[in-house]
Amino acid sequence: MPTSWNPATNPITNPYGINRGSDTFAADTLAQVTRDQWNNYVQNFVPIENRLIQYATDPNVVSDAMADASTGIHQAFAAQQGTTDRRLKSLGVQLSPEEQAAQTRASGLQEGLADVQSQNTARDLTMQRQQSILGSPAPTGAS
Amino acid sequence: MGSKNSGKVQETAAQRAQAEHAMNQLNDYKQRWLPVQQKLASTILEQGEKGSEARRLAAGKASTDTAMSFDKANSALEKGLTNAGAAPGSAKANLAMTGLGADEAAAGGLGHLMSEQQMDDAYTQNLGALMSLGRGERATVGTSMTNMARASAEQASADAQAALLQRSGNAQLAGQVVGFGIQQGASKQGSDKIQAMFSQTGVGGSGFGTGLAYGNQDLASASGMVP
Repeated sequence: MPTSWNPATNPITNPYGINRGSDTFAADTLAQVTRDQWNNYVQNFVPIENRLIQYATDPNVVSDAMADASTGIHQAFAAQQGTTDRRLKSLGVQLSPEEQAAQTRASGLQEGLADVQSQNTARDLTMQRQQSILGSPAPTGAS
Repeated sequence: MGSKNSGKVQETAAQRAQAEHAMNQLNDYKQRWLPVQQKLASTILEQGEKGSEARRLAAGKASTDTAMSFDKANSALEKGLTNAGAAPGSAKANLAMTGLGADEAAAGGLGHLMSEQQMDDAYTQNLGALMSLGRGERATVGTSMTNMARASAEQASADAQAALLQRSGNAQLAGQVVGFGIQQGASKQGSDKIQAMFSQTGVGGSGFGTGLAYGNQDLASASGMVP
């Protein structure tokens, strides 16, 4: 139904088929309206509420967020290695074995720390979000 | 309710009119607004899915912001190194440049994480807004999406600046990068707020290059990653 529907020019007919001449028209109509409202809520909004409840209560949401964060860090470091190599090459620079070893060590340490950091951050933020949905403000674990 | 001699309670005209009005209101809602709300709901649910187009766009923007900010930082570092007599090829220059590359990777990875987290924020807030609509309350949907785009650029800029300062400091180029700092400062509005958010989660306000895992030394030590 287009949103430009105009009740003035196209009035609503009796969708419930209740006889307007009936002695119980008002009671029957209000009963049907109430049922219709409930059905509409169950059909359209309960699934959305369930999605939010599932997000707020499923422990896998936290572990998935941590795993995604870790993957993101490793992918970023893998991609960056190529970028750094190209940058050095463009300057005509080649790392000596000692420099290469130092760079590998420093980069590995930084990647490990970033991995831990990203997982902790993902866990804290996700748990805080879950708890705030449930109505209780979460303590900030890593502050 | 009126009554007749039969003892049966009769509905008044007002009651009948009210019932009809309620029926009309509900049907008006179902014909005009419910389809709009259903469309909004399906959009929000789709955006919240893992790997959705909205998430890919947000991650792409975060990645581009990081790349752009660190590209400027790289240029500033190379210039500073050359001015200080540490030409490319020297150990000092090589390690500063590769170190900045690692900083960029960490910033990129954490930027991606934050874009995902902000998408999750937007997703759950919008689901909450839809729930409010279902209960007949007023709701505000979609504001968090615009916040996310701004935060990504600000964070990338702050990270690049912090990493450059650290790498420059290591290479003893203090003062060579002031121009870059001023330039980045002009686009840094609001990044203090973002840094404060990161500080709460342990990343620290000193940037990824220097502040990594300050809040998590225990975990990092336990896993044998730091002595």
